[in-house]
Amino acid sequence: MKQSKWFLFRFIFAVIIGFAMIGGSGSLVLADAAPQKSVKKLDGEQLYAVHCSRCHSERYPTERTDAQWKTIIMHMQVRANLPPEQARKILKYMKENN
Amino acid sequence: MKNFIKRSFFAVLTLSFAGLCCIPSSWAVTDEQFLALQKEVQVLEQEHQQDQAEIQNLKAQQGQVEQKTEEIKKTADQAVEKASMVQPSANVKVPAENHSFVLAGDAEVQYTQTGGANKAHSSYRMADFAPVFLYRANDKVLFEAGFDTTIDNGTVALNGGATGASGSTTSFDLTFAQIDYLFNDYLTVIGGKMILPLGTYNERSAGWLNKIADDPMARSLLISQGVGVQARGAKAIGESGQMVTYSAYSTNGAGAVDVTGNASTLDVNVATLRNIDLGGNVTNMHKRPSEGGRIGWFFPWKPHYDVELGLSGQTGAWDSAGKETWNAGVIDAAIHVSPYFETKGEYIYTRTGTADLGTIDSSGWWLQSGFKMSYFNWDLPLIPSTELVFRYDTINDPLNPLTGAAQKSYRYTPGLVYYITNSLWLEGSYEKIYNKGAQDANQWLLQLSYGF
Repeated sequence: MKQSKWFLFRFIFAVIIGFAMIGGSGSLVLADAAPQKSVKKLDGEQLYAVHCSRCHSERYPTERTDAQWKTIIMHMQVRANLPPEQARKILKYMKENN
Repeated sequence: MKNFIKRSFFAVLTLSFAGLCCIPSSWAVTDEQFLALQKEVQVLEQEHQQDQAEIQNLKAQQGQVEQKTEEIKKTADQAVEKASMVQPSANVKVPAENHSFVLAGDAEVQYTQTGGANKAHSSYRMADFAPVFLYRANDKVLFEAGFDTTIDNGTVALNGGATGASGSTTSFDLTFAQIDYLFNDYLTVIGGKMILPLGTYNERSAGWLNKIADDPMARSLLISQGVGVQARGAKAIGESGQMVTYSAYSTNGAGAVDVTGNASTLDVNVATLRNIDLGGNVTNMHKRPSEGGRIGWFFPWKPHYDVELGLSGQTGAWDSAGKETWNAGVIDAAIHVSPYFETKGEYIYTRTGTADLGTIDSSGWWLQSGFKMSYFNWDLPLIPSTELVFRYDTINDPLNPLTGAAQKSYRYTPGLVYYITNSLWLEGSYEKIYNKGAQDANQWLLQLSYGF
């Protein structure tokens, strides 16, 4: 099988990298496309329920120290692909309730 | 008037003289008394001088003490300064939070009973300890490594190429070991041995995350881990938790056991093996590594109510000449409706080019649902802590018959999870496996899983 058939796949690969880099510069169109009127602001507790419980049982904030939660949330930010702002809100909730 | 003044003056003078003549003799001081007083004054003067000397002495001692105190203080300050250069002071919170080491992971014990094609005695089949070590160097850098230590049934090679059972074997695998660099809010760069984001099952399949103790059959079509680099991240859409996730990676990819592009090869006992190795090779024998990635969309409309869709794939050469490619595509989906009900699944498709059999298309899919009995709010023992689970999975792999396995299989797996705590589960399931062109099989699986 010719590898050239999979050129499209490699193109998508390159687009993903570009997507991430553009996002870093803060000029991503996607963010602007979200209609402001329909935005619901979720707090740390709600985001914790949204993101964490879809893969595992929710862990009690009292199970870890502040520093440990900071490390674990950083790990989950990478593993579960959490947006950093939402990860920070979840961390704040964990710290305030442990 | 003048006469009156004169008279008064003389009268006063006379009276004063008379008064002096009348002073009693006892008022006079004798020589003895004077000498005694003089001696007493001298004694007091001596005592005063001694007191003064003692005060001076004490003052001198106080000065010495103060000097010594200053010296001790200075030495202590110097010691604290030196200590702070070695490690942060205990009362300074910020440096202490800058890095942290955390041990997480999971452990499992499994009991199985198999029947049909794989009939065997029931046994405590497996014990698994899978620690995950996390070290946060600072707010940008995280080191993480996961190990899998498993004790399993032992095997021994018998005369004529047969395999027998003997004791047990202990395996120690490095599941992942990676350095994460959080470049910015949209991009994390990863290097090392990674769990590959082909679908979502791989990254969410630890023993205490998966509600059925074994993997869907179609997952065997994919590579689970790879050594390489990855860029990944997420972009939130609004502030409701909705987001787009993305990841792209480069890894060594699949390899060839005997370096050729043939579909199969023979081992030392002349038994047929698959030639393509999906084990996550650490050497790359081709011209260049493989590439892959995933893009996903997650939409929660409220906590515990969400839908997730993803598309992922990988492509790259697998034989040493770099002529034959292995390509994989995965569609994944998950939905949660309330805290009580979830459904998730994956469709997996692979296309393998071979030198002798041409292109081999393999595929499979699985769908798994869970329903928590706490929904009913029944005041009964055990029931509220139980979740019913069901999985259907299937595989169609034309390479399977090369090793004696059925090409097509499908399996029904009803089961349940009993939550002893939020991270300690008892999982039980019964699997009925239908093999096309081969004997059917069944299996009971019981597993105690703990996440820490």
